Parts: sequence; C-alpha cells; structure tokens
Amino acid sequence: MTRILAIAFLQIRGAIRSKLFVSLMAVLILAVLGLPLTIKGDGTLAGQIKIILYYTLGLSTVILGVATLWASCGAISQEVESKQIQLVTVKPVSAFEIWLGKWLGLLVMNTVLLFTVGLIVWFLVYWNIRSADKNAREMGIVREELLAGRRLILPRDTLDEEVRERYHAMMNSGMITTNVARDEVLASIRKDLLAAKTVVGPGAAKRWILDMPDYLKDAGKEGKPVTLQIRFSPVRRGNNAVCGEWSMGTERKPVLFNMVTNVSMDGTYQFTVPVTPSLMDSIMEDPVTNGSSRGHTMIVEYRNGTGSESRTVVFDRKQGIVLYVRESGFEANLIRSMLVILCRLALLAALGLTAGTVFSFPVATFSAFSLILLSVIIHYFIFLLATDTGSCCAEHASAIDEESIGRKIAEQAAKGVDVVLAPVMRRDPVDLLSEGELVSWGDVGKALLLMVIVYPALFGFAGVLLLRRRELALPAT
Amino acid sequence: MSDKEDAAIVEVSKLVKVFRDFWRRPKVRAVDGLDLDIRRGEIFGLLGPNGSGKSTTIKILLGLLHATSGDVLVFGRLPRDVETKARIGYLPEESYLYNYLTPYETLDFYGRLFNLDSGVRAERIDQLLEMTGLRHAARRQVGEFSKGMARRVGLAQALINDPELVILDEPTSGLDPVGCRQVKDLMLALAKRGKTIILSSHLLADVEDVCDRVAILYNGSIRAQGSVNQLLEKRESVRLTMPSLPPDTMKRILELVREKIGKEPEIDHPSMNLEQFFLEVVEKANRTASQQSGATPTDAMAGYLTKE
Repeated sequence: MTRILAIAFLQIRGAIRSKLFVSLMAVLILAVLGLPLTIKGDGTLAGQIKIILYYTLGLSTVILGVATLWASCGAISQEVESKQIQLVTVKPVSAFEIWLGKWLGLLVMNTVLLFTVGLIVWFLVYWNIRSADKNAREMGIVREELLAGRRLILPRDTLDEEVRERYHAMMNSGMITTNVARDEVLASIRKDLLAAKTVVGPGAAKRWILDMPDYLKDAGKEGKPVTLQIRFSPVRRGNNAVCGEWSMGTERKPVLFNMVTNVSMDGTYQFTVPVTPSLMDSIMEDPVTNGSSRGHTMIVEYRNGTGSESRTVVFDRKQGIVLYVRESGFEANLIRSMLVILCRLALLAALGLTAGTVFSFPVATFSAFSLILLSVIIHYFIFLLATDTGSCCAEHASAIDEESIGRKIAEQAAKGVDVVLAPVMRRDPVDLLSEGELVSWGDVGKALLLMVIVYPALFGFAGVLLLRRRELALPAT
Repeated sequence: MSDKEDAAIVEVSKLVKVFRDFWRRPKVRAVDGLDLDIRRGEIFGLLGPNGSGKSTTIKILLGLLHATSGDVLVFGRLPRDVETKARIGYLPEESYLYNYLTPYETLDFYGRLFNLDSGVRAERIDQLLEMTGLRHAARRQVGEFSKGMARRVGLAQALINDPELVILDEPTSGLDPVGCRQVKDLMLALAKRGKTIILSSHLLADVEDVCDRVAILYNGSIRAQGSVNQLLEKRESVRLTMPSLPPDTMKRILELVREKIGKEPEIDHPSMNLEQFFLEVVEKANRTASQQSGATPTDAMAGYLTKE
C-alpha cells in the first residue's frame, strides 16, 4: 500500500507543482461563477436556479471530464516518453501498483475539484434564493420542484406491445407481404399508434396507467408531496388555453381525486396532488392482477373540454404525464449527484490510463476521445433504432429485408456494444438534479459498482497486462 | 574465497537482443550471443564504443527490455521479478528524475517504493544528502539543478535501498573531478562491503581505477574479458620507481641497464596527475569559502553504506 500511495501522492504533487491543478480550479471557478451571468434565463427564480444547476454544473463536469481524460492519458505515457518510468519500474513496484497509484491520484484530485464546484453551486443556489423577491409561489416552485430529490413514476409504456400485436395481425391477415420492408411497416404502425395515444380531441378522454411501487405505501403518512407533471408535445404548442378535467384512482374506484385545469399548450405544468393517507391507502389496497404479476396501479384520466373554445390536445409521448414523489432534500441529492459524476470521472481516468500504457500521449488522447465519441454515437444509434421500430417482431426479420443483412449485423453488433455502454450512459445526474429528480443511493451504488469497480478493473487489468509486456526502454523511433 | 562470496550475481548466457520495427521486422541486432558471469563483491566494467550494446545489456539486466533469446538471471531469478528489483540500485546514463521534486522528496519517494520505514528512510536520506553534498539544496526543485547536481541526486536514489547490486551507467558523466573521485571511492567502499557493481563508462581511466574485471563489447558481443591487470599488464617491461639518486650512482645504473637491454631505457620524473592536483586546489578553496550554491565538496560516505 505504501508504494501505491507514494505513486498516488506523486501524481497529485506533479499536478500541483505543474500548476495544472490550480489552472483547472481557476477555470472551474470562473465557469461556475461566470456562466450564470452570460446565460439569460426566463426571469424567474426557478429559471435562474435551473441555469446554475444545469449549465454551470454541466459545464464543470465537461471541463473535468476532458481534463481527466487528458491528464490520465499523459500520466503513464508521458513518463514513458520522458523515461522517468524507468527509474520507477526498476524498483520493486508492480505494474498493478503503478496503474492503481496513478488512478487513485487522479481520483483524489477530481474529488477535491468536483466537491469544490459542488460547494460553490450550493452557495450560488442559496445566494440567489436569498437575494430574490420573496414571491411565495415562486419560492414554492423552487423548493418543491427544484430543491428536492423526487422519484419519478412514468406511465406504463405499452407501445411496443401494441405495435407487435398490430404487426402480427396485419401479417396474419395478409395485409402486408414479405416484399415490404419490415422496418418501414413497423415505423408506420408506430406512428399511427403514437398519434392515437397522444392526441386527445375535444370531449375525448385519455388514460394512463401508472405502476405504483410498494415503497409508496407510506408516502401519504409521511406527508411526501406528490406532484403531477403534464407535458404537451412540442409539435402543437401555443398560447391557447385548454380546459380539461383530471381524475385519479384505481380500476375499482376511478375517481379518488379530481381537478380541473385550464392551461396553455406552451410547455410543462406541475400540479401538486394532495396525497392523503386515505388516497394512497386506497391505491395500495387495490391490487390489480396484470398477467402473472400482481401490483398496485393508479389510473390517471384526462377528459378534454367540450365547449366551443375546446381544442385538440397533444401530449408528449414519453412524459405526457409524470408523477413525482419527493424523497429527499436538495443537499443530499446534490451530494449523490456529485458522487455519480465522480464515478464517471473515475471511469474516464481508467480509460485514459490504459490508453496511455500502450500508446504515446497524443495517440492515447486521440484514441480515448475517439472511443468515447464512438460510444456516444453507438448509444444514440441504438436509441434511435428503438424509437423508430421498437424492439419487436424479430421473428419475421429473416423473412423480409434479405437485402439488408449487412445492416442487421451492424445493428446486432451495435446492440451488443450497447449492452456494455448502456449502464454507463444512463441519464446524466446533472440533468436529474436540475429537474429536481432523485439521484438515489441505488444509483450511486450502481455507479460505484460499475464505474469505479467493474469497468475500471477491466481497464486496469488490460493496462497492467500491457504495461508488464511493454519494453519501457526501447530506443526512440 | 568462500562459496557465498564466489556466488554468481549475474548470469547471462547466449543473450541476443534484436530491435524490431513497427511491422516486427528485425532492425538492429544490439546484443549478439553475449555470455557474462559477474560474482559477488566484484566491480565489473562494461566498455565499448557507442552502440556496442552496453546500455542494452544493462537494460535487459534491469528488466526494462526483453531478451530476444538467451538466459538472464540476476540473483538466480528473472530480472523482472520484484524480489530481484528490491536488491538492485540503478543509476541511468541520464538522471530521469521528476523535475518538480526536491532531492529530499525524490529520495523519500524512491524510499517509499522500497517500502522503507519512515525512520530508516529519514536517516538514509539525511546521510545520502550529506554524502552527495546536497544538504543545503535539499529543498530546491531538481529542475533547477545543473547536470552534475542532478546526477548526484540520481546516485543517491540508486543507493537508498542499500542495494546488493549497483548498476551504474556513466556514473561520472557531468560530475566535477571531486564528484568523480567520490563516486570511485564509493564504488571501492561498496565492493569492500561485498556489494557487486556493474559499471558502464566511456571514461577508461575511471574503469581502470576501480574495476576488478572488464568486458569490452563491440557490435553486441564481447571481444575481450578479464581482470584489468591481466588485460593491461606488459610482462616484457618493468617500471622501477625510487627516490632520486646521486648523479654518479644513476650513471652507473643506467650503464648497466643499457648493457643488458642493448638500448636507451626511458627515464622520467613521476608527476602528480591533474585529478590529484585539482582535488588539492578545491580542498584548499573549500576550507576558505563561506557560501556554496552548487554541490558541497565532501568526503563523507553514507554511514549505512559503509557499515560492516
């Protein structure tokens, strides 16, 4: 351990003495303090807080990410080039100790820098709140919707299932033949269903089914605020007000709570649902059998107005409605977000270090950045693929589209790669924090397991193997 | 000589090192069938012109390069073995030190890599700084040092673990004559304690002064090997040194020698060499100097290195 700590400490000392640490700290502080001054908000306190949380923290994370990758690529490769590593490797130090020491050093520096940023952000948030006009409504929005860690419950998404059913039905009825491109048919079915599911005409109604997790049993007793968020689709936004009635309940008792809303279709609205213990008890005591599984569901229904002024409403496909349950305060959520970001930086450091064990500094930097870019592209490609066609009807794939086997192979390869990437590419903690969504300890645990233990261990194993095999005193070419 | 003393520390057999290009095509054959046995307590000199394979051989002994073929054992183990490395001290041809560290921090860092206790570490650092004359510069960053001063730090780090085998690649390069003399004295002192030293140098006078045995390399293979006396001795000539004699006695001796060898013998007065003269001048100057910015000339030897 002495050797690992000596190498880690050397890494930190090098960064401090080379002014890298100080420069990075200065850039981060400048970004955190300066960015809110350059971005124009919507004039509300909530808007200002969102800018601080999303943009400043987001930018700081990007700066730290780039700096971490750059520094980690150079940590070993530059020592190989300057031959300093020769004096280290002739000592009784294993390649593993060198790799781990460097990684720990980078991790410690990132921890200090990131938590300094977190502290400034926290200070800025409260400084803005203190210096803002004491508008009770705005304060309420900020406290309930932003300075919180709220768990998000999305409606059950049955689109894929419905697309599959319709596709099979069309195949069986001979409405589509094998010479029609499968993907095009699927995309078309999806489009039709999507329109039917998100559009609500005057006088029509739309239902969402929400699977309520067991931990919500005590939400009513604990007085956890529950917020219903309505989001209209960006394709039909406007200033015209739409009036409708909302009801919430279960299959047996459809109206446990109801309210009337009159809002314009120009964005997102949040309404607090008064969750009384009796409301939650009613939901939780009314289990519904869904196939083989039993669970608790809440039915949310929107009935569009019928008057002469009524208009067609288009809800957002994924987040037409979302139920938020407050689980924790802002500080705890901020700390957990920082920890998840730190885990990501740890993964970047591991990637950079391993690239640096095999390549020269410029090649290592280029390779590491390219790998990340490629990962993002693949993940985005998979996301688009899922959005386009869903993940259904693979059984018909061989019968149709024979001309695009190459594409299928590429898709499958990308999906295979995405299995590894997906856990790392989960939603950005900065995004969650700025939306007041919960970053749970479970998220932190998963990030810790994957991005600090499993993936870095794999990178470390590869790095150690490469470093051990590498001839460190080859003549310069 | 006991078995222990006679034990081979370094055993190299049929060593070949071929450097390859990116496509793994052979580029240079740096070492070609080298055989070497170095025994405990020896000061072994590796000589040869540039590119003869000295440094490559040393780097293979240290595990920094892999042998293409042949066997290399150091302390009976492979060079890359961590146990082996714990018993070796290495001074490379250039001191690849961290410029942002001070000599104290440098020695502390390398001491930690040998897992030395903090007390032992502090004691050794103190003695090494004294020995290398860097005590007054212990808190200055190595990047500010002259080549010679950095070389002293390099030498100190090579000795922090009290190594059994010291490998010195051009140890006197960049050092002033005081430093050179000191390094040579150090090598002799270490060898006296049973340490083994491998010295690679271009300065033949240095090698001649301290080495027990030498190997001369050319194009990657050994062209001559043996003890210095064995290799340099001219058995057909004799040198006689004595106090100056009265002229008539001298005349009678010369006549006798002339008669015996049939030609005029070479006669001169023994002179002090330039190194000795320089050392005397510096020693006098040092006694009168009040301030020192470079390395302080010193005769001190780190105590733990000379302990029996």
